[in-house]
Amino acid sequence: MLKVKDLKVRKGSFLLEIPEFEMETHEMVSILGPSGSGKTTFLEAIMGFVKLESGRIYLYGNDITDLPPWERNIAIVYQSPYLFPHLTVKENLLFGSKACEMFVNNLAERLNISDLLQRYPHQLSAGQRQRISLIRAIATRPLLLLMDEPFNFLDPNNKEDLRHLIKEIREFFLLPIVLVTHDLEEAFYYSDRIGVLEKGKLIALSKPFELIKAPPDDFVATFLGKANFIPVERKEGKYFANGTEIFLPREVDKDNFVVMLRPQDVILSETEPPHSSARNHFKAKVLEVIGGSKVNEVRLESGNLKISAYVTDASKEELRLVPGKEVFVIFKATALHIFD
Amino acid sequence: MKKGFDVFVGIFSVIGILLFVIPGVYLLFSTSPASLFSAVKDDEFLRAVGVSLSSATLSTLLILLFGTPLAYVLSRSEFPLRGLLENLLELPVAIPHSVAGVAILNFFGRGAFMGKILNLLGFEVYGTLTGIVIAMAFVSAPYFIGSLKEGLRQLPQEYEKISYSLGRGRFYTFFKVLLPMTKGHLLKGLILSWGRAVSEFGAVMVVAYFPMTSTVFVYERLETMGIRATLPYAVLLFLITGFVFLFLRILWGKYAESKGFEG
Repeated sequence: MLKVKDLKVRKGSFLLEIPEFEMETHEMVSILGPSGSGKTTFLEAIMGFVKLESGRIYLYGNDITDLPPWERNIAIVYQSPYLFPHLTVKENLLFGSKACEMFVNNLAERLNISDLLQRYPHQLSAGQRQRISLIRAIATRPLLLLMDEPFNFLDPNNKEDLRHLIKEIREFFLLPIVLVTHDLEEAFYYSDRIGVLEKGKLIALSKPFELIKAPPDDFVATFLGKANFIPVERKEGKYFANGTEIFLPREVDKDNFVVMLRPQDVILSETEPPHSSARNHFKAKVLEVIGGSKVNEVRLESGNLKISAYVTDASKEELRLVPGKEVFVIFKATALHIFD
Repeated sequence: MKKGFDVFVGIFSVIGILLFVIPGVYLLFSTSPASLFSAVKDDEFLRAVGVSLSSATLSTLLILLFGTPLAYVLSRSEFPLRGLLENLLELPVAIPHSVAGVAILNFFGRGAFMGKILNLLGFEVYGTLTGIVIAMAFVSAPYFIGSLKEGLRQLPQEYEKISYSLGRGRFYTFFKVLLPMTKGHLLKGLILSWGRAVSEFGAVMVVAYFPMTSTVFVYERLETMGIRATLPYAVLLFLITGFVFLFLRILWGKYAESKGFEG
């Protein structure tokens, strides 16, 4: 569907270099990376907003490298909605060259925004504005949708709403999406594949499960290490992580997947707790204890799995946590976050 | 201490008002209704006012036509010597206006290269309405270009990018996104330019003493008949241009308020 070959973009001393990047139809790919890693530049190259030093870009087999942005049929959503303030919501939705009245009305009805159509952007809430900007992008019927940190300025409730909208849109339109983000949770939430950019180079691009299970290098591992991502395998109806059976908050109909566990949801104990389906536990060895201003981060290792836990100063003293010490890592089944 | 400061600010403000406000207001009360009435019936004066208002309006349209693309280029493009060009564009604000008039004659006048081109097109600059319009545009363009340029610079480029991504080309984006979104700055620039053009005297007098603009008319009356005889005309001009300018400012203020612009 989308194919990028030998892409090079130079911005001052920064060089974005992507030898190869390919996306399937209907696929959603997230691009993760720290700020300044070239994520936005990558999107701008696909859009045609920056000059390429070299490389070709193909969309459904057509070479679009030399087309101006308005002939590419690619839509983009930024972290701010950028709704045109002098136009009503409806006029915004109809702005695109391929948007038509009937399609917009259908879309509005389906996505529950019919009552907003006659309003001006300044009469909407922040969450509504971002929803409309996404729907405006869809209304022009693009072949590919790019999103540059669309959740950045949203509060948790609005984030949740926008996530649902993106899911709905994917289901209705089977639209391929590239999502640029620095938020791991977002990336894992619904990506088919995750790419990691560092200093202008795409150092990883694989399925979430594979990325967590075998990060290509330390940078990716540490980058992903801010939360605990646990690869889970299903065997005969039971779930195993790290060779130990674990209990999940609900059934998952996949053989390989990743669950997320926040460090603050991990409890450490010197004694083995009783087995129960509400709580998971396994033995782990302390690798290091990093003191923080509010909590201490404890890094542990259990088999191939690395786990981070936050403990208070009191717990740190009580458990006498030092590298090499063996403790039990305990977490509730309900603390596990499942990515669909 | 605090009181001392208040006294200081108070005294200097009063002197400021005396210098900057009172002369204008005092002018309004310096003539009789009867002499105002006879001035209104003076054909020569009315013709001069007509020349001023129409040429100021024409020069503002000229600025709108050629200044808008210029403001866009200056706000959106990077090119060598852009800074120099911007400074040169603002120069007419500072240079003596008689010098501006000489510069225009030197470039567009009968013997000059551009003058010959204008002649071929049927235009003559020296002593014509065309000359007045060009002189007015020259001295008042910086106000319009500066205002629109500022508006465009403040507008995030993402709006254009969004428009392109929605399949709209550069002309459509310019007229349907950029201009409507900088309407406040555009209107403000037009009003300032018009105000500057209608009050221009120096450059206009050098380029075209005739047809007489209202500013040249007042000067001529002053020279030939003295200040007493000139006062009614001065008051009338003050009222006419002042009212038009205030009216436009209020109109713009209302617009700005409705759109949430900073005045």
